[in-house]
Amino acid sequence: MNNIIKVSDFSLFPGPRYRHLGEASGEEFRDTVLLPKLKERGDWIINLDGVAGYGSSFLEESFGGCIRNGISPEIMRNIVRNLISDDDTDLIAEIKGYVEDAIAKIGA
Amino acid sequence: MTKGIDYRFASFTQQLENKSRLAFEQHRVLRINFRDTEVIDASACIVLIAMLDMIKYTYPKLKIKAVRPKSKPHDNRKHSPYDVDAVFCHIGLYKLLGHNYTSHSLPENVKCWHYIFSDSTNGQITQPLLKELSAMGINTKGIYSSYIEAIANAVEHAYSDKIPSQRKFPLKRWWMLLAVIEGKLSLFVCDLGHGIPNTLDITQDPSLLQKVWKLLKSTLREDKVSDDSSYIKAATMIKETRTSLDYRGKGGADIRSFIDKTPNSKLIIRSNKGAYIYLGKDKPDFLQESKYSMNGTVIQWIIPINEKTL
Repeated sequence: MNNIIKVSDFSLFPGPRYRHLGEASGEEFRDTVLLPKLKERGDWIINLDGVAGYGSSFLEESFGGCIRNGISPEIMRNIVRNLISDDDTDLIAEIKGYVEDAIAKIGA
Repeated sequence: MTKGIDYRFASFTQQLENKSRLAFEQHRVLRINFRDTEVIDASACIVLIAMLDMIKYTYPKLKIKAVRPKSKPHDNRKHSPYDVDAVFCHIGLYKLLGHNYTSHSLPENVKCWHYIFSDSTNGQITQPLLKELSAMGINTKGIYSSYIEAIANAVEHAYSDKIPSQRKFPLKRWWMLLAVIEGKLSLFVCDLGHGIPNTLDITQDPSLLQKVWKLLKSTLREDKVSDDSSYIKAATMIKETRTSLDYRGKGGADIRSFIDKTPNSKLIIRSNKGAYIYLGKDKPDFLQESKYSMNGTVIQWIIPINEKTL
């Protein structure tokens, strides 16, 4: 399948929220991986498995940040529905929360 | 440091700072005498490493001599006190001071001690520690989520220029130590910055903080909420408060969440004069104040382990 984005291809050690704070940030993942792909099409499946773990700020900046950068709520809700996270199933609810918060804040 | 910051610790760190500066200014050798050091608390050990690293960075030409602790006779007891000299050799403290000392033995209870450091948030450099943790059967994803947030906080806030301070921070670094003591693993993240009580008001949204204080006042005595320990507790409640305000489920990765998911684990956060001890959701927590400040923050996760895996 060619519509899968593996976070582990970006980094095995997801880092902080912003680029200026260190390596493999949520901002970098969003800007270099998620946004370009989501602007192409919206039916991506994101696989969160195979990495050391996630700080909550990485996840918020990556996924909530897509809404703040113009990706539509419909596409992001679809992305959340299709998330793969067998290593830690709690992550899906957490990301859903960040996406819904960001949607609420832009008043969509 | 086990029971708070006492006079001896505060006085030692103050002396170390002052005498390093003097020795540098007078072109003299700084001599640190560990001859009578029989035990070192692991949280004090990480602060010592951090301070020496800071001193070496501030005064790169300063020569430091270390008088080694007396070596201990070999001790096969399972929970024997660890050999301080072996710890210093193994973790590389002497190397940090420019000495190539080796220990005559490497006791089992010292083998897994490791420390790392960085000036940015870099998960990859924690890989050797993650491997040790994994070998001990620890949920590494859970602990990674917790400590990477702690490291990111240290990088973003601990040495922030936005905080008014008379202290200078030539090095904006965090240090991490893994140690096993009496069948429990301790993981520390340390910085020598402003301390949580000084950063919280400036780094967090005032309206959110107001709600945190309101929540805290309902559980603490009114006069206690200005203590350093209550600032620390407030810092750990930021995310919880933010999520409950937004009417969504419990958030995942913050520095407390690993404790909620790991039976018999414990979180201790020491920052400036305060200490906050968290045992898990719906369990009592403890706040402690000291007369002296540690001038920084040490976050410690204590996790029981199966000693057969060591």
